[in-house]
Amino acid sequence: MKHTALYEIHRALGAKFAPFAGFEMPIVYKSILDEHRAVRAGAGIFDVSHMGQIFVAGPDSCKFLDYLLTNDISAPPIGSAIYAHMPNDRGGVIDDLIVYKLSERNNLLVVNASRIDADWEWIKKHAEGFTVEISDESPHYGIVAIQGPLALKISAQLHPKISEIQKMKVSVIPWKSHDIIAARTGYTGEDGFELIAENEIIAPLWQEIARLGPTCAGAFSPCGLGARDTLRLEAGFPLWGHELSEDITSLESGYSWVINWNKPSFKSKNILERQKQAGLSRKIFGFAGASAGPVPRQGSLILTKSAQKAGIITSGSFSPTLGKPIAMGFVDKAYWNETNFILDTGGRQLQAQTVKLPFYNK
Amino acid sequence: MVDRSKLKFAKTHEWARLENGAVIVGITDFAQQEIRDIVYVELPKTGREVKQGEPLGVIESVKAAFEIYAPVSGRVVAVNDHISQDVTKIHKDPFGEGWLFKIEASSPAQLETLMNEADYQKITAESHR
Repeated sequence: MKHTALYEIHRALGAKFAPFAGFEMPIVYKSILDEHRAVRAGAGIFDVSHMGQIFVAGPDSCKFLDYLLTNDISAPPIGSAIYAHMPNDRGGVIDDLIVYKLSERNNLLVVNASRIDADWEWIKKHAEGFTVEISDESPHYGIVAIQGPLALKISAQLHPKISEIQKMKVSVIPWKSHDIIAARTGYTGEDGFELIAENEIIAPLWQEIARLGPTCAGAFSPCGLGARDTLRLEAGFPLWGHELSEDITSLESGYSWVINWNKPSFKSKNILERQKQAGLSRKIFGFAGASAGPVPRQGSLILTKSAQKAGIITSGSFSPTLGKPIAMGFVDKAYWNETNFILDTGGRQLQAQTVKLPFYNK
Repeated sequence: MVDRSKLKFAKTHEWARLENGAVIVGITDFAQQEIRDIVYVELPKTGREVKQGEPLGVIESVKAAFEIYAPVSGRVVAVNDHISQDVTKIHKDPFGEGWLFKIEASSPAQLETLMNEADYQKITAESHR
């Protein structure tokens, strides 16, 4: 089992660990509910060092990524953080990722931990013919995320330049004779930063934020992957392996905006165009419990009131903010006009209504 | 404060205590700490007949669902309705206000098949739920 640079710190904080994508990661320190609420009310820090870092450098860096990814990488200015999907030959999603455009000739891809190997193989396989240098630096980099309404105030004390970074932008900030790739991005639905740096600086960076956090007069907590999941679900963000997979297209996931149709070509563009023209047979809906009840989980059935199967739940949890169960799931086209469903988890049933995503909007 | 020496323990982490002819059942302090973040509890209906070891309720945390098993055979004669209003009672007072239901045992001697506190502590020290 792999460990991040912060493993000993998590242990000292009394974290409960679980295996995740080959890493032993902190799931919760004391309470997922408390950690979740700290991020909504104040700020939380997360170790997301398990995620992967793949650098794509060279004169064709943007051109190559324009070919591999759904979104446009060439056009946005240097310093942009661009969310994109990487389609396979069938239009399914190999991974969803953020491209940090550090320069015209150097892009950093931050990818899902569980997909590092698949991503790397795919990128390597398609690099031929492009003047690019690709390197998987995942083992050498870590990420500390600070998220919440107080994230800006806390982060600005690391370096004043951090407060100049706008949403969905990235900048390289010097800190303790190292470079931090500081991005105003996140996975919680709150303002915040993801601070990407080499392993040796990750523990000092975490410790400094942990020191600054409690001085900012508000809720502050280290947060495990448990809270990260409930926060992203409330924000309506997809998670690979749930709302995204090699057998789910960007269109079906409800994230058609990641596709830039103006690009002359990109991987599987024709397949996605055909699906767009033909129309979808399923798409993601949000659900909220009509009252307290069994919490839907991945794999729970979406049933009509007459007990017909209308789809399947991809993610479900209890929403700490709304105080009731919420879920996302695929609904078959025949049932898109219905609004009341039963979410069945092993025979235990929750009355639920479709709701517009996201569940939480700050 | 509940006198834990009067409690009996199941290996599935329920406690049971005989009081006025009925067996009161809850989950242990160890179990509530392990489950964490309880958000929903499903309790049996009164009148339900159960056999020892049979699932008759569910406790759900943010992350997962855990079944509750009957520590003795019998008939459910009461459920703690306050729990549905405030599930955090299980965290705050698992052996007291956090009780879940009462069973009229068909054979009260079945309580003797359960563990005492010392034996239960041994298994929780070794294994995690």
